[in-house]
Amino acid sequence: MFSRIPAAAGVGLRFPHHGVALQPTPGVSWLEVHPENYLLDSGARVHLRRAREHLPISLHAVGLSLGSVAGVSRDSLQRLRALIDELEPGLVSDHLSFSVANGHYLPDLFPLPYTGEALEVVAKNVDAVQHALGRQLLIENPSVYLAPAAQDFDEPEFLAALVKRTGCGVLLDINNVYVTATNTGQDPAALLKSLLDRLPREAIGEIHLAGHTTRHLDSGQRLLLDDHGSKVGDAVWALYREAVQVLGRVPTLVEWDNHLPEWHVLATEALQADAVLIALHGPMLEGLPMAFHRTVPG
Amino acid sequence: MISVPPLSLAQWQADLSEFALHGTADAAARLLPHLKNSPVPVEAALAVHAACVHSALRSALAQRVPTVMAVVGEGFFNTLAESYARANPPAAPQLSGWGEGLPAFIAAMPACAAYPWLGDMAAFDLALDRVAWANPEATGPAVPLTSDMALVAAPGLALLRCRYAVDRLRDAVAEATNGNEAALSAELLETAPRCYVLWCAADAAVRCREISESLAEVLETLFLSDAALETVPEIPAERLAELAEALVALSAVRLVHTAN
Repeated sequence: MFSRIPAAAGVGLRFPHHGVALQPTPGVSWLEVHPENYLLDSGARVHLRRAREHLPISLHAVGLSLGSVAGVSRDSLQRLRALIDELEPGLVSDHLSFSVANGHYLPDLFPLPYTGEALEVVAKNVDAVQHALGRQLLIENPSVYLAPAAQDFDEPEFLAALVKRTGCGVLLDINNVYVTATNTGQDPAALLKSLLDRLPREAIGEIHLAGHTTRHLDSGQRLLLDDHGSKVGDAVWALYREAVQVLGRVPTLVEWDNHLPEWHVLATEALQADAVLIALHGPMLEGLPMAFHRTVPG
Repeated sequence: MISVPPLSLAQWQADLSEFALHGTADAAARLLPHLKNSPVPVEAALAVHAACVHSALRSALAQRVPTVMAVVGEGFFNTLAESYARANPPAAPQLSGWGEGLPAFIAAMPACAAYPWLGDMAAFDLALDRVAWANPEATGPAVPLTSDMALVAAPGLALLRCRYAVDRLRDAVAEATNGNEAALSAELLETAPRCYVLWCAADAAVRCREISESLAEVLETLFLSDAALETVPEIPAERLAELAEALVALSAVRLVHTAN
């Protein structure tokens, strides 16, 4: 059993890949799943247990709704804690967003206005989650489509304040940086630089890479959709290189949810991320799972 | 210059959620003064969230009731799913369990009146899906028969009562989808009280058999009622043995030797 997530590339594990993910795959050093799909004692959880015997696991939640004024569901936390106790994941994360309002859970990551009130709410919820889980939570920067007219902070300031208040870490989603910057009229490189400048380097515990879709609106504007349905774009790869140049080696995950490709396509994307890490920081053997150590001569 | 009173976070969340789910104009009107075009027009940005919510909910429901979707087609299914979502939004992020109210919703929907069996088919699809989620390595509830013998239920054991021959209708829908529309014969649309037992087999496959009402009642008494497991029901020994044999023959239940 392994706990620590290596500072190498991994991929998001989805149900159609449950079987093939048990085979050692070059480029895939760890796996990440959405815990909401494994909270029941189900056949899916059996598959996840088996995968966990081969590779370290990270849990990336989508349903804690950390920005909800209603707080975080105690039932969700208890079930997540039980899954964590069983799997001993290397990392646990969720999003800077809300999904629960009016008593309903809606499957979207709704944005928060970056106000003092929102900071109070998110900090209180993150504190509660970290206390209940007994560990640090990583918070992912969102993909933003809506721009509130008046905010007290920009995104880097808000995240930095949250880190300072709660001791949480940050999951830096590079695709989200690109999508948010483009949709809100910012320079993606400048937004990334601001995030890297404002966040403590040690707080960034994981990086996400994913594909997005470009929609051309009748009004002439470009709207980027963070749909995780294609290969990582060139512009996002360029930002990734900028980020790891500054951050050093960081566990990096390739996410793909829609139009899921064959496993080898995902692995190839992960290999590309590993190639960037190796080009900038040299090879890394320490921390890789035993399945890979055994292939190393000597 | 007109100043806009600040929107509380609670109101922001209530309005955004209501707009995404229901498309309510009032909710959008309350949000608009607090949003700016930058450079994506606000309306387009709001529409992204509404589309995302309904796309995810449609997809979750389509995975649970694939036969229903095959019957009505993707276009109508999308309308059905959106209507259902607005009336019965999920309460928790585990969407694999969302949609249990769909059979009754379909039965009450005038647009589905041409398919009186569709509610039963939705119930069958949902039952199959629930069993598909069962852990094939789990041990189901056990009922002691004698001091050293017990009946053990297969994982995911469930009963479904309905009026239509949903197993054969499902096969016919699959054939019709492949071009053999004659497979949906009038004979299949005859109604009668029916019971199905469903369970997860050791190879993780979902199994289903139509059974008699008397067998269903025994299964229910032994394994599926609140009082199950506490006492062996008062069924004459010979009759119980006969029923146990029938259950074991189905492989929905195993007869196991227990240690004293």
